[in-house]
Amino acid sequence: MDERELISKSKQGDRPAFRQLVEKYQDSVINMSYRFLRNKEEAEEAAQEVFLKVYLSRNTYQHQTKFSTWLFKIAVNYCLNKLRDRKKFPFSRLEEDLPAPAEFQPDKLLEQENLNRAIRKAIDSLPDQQRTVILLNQFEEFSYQEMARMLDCSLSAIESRLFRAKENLKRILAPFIKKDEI
Amino acid sequence: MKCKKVIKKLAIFLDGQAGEKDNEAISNHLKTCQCCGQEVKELTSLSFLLKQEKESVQASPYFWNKIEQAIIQAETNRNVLDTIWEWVNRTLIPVGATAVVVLGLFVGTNLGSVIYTNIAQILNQDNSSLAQQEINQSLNLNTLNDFPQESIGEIYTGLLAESNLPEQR
Ligand SMILES: [Zn+2]
Repeated sequence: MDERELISKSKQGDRPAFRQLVEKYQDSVINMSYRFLRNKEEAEEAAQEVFLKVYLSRNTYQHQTKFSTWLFKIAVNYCLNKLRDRKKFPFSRLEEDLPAPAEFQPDKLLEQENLNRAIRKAIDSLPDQQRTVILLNQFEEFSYQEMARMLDCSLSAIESRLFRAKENLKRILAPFIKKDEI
Repeated sequence: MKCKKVIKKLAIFLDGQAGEKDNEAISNHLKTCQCCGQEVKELTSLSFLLKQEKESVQASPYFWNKIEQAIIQAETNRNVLDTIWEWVNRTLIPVGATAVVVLGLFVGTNLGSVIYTNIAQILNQDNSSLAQQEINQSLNLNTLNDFPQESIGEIYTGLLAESNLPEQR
């Protein structure tokens, strides 16, 4: 069954069809939620909430939009709201405690775990808008057009957010960036 | 295209999503500008670096089951709400509407009889000329007496007044 058929059947309340849609996208949604929330349990719960929302509002989905764009729009909004709640109630912060990138030395570059941590910390330090576009662009490979639709903004806004995000990341991750490599 | 604009457009250019015009202009610019060439190297290196972060989270074995349970719960709640709403529509709204009509009729009838009784009481009072004035004022009947002098209307009301006067006195 192709995606269109699965969506049509899900719209009619066919749960097994919806399950197939969930299984197709669950890892992407969990991983993106994890990149926002940095807590595995919270990321899984967020993904479950997102799929529930998707099922309950399935009749508002229109076929002109790519399903993944619609799904990730709901997921991104959910995660951004969660982050806003965390800022309001700082004690509910459950992020994993990561050391700051400055503590990493370039000579440890080969240690994959250290590198992972440095990258995560750098991304986490970005303002929400820049972080969102970096996650969608670098990890989910959404087009600029799709990101604009997803975030309800113009193409030039996406362009400038990505530009600023990449400039910031270059600055934070400077010790890891090879300046004369191509 | 100037360096400042090229640098701002480099991300979209490297992602292969710049428009045809921009693509050509940036490609031409990069052939001669070392400074922007350096920026390309750094951005490419950054993209490469970010892709190194491969940590991924797997869904737990009960991932779907929890979603399904939540769906069933939500649909049950929705059915209960639908039933309540249907009952409100079928029963409460018609009953409410009937009650409003009945209340309207009751208030209307009572209000009518109260006004009628008050006027009758005023008319039955001893100082009836005063009462007549009051009624005339409240109902704006005085305007009917303002006929031009010696017009038929004035003569007619005059005759009426004369025939009433002796009785009133
Ligand atoms: Zn240049």
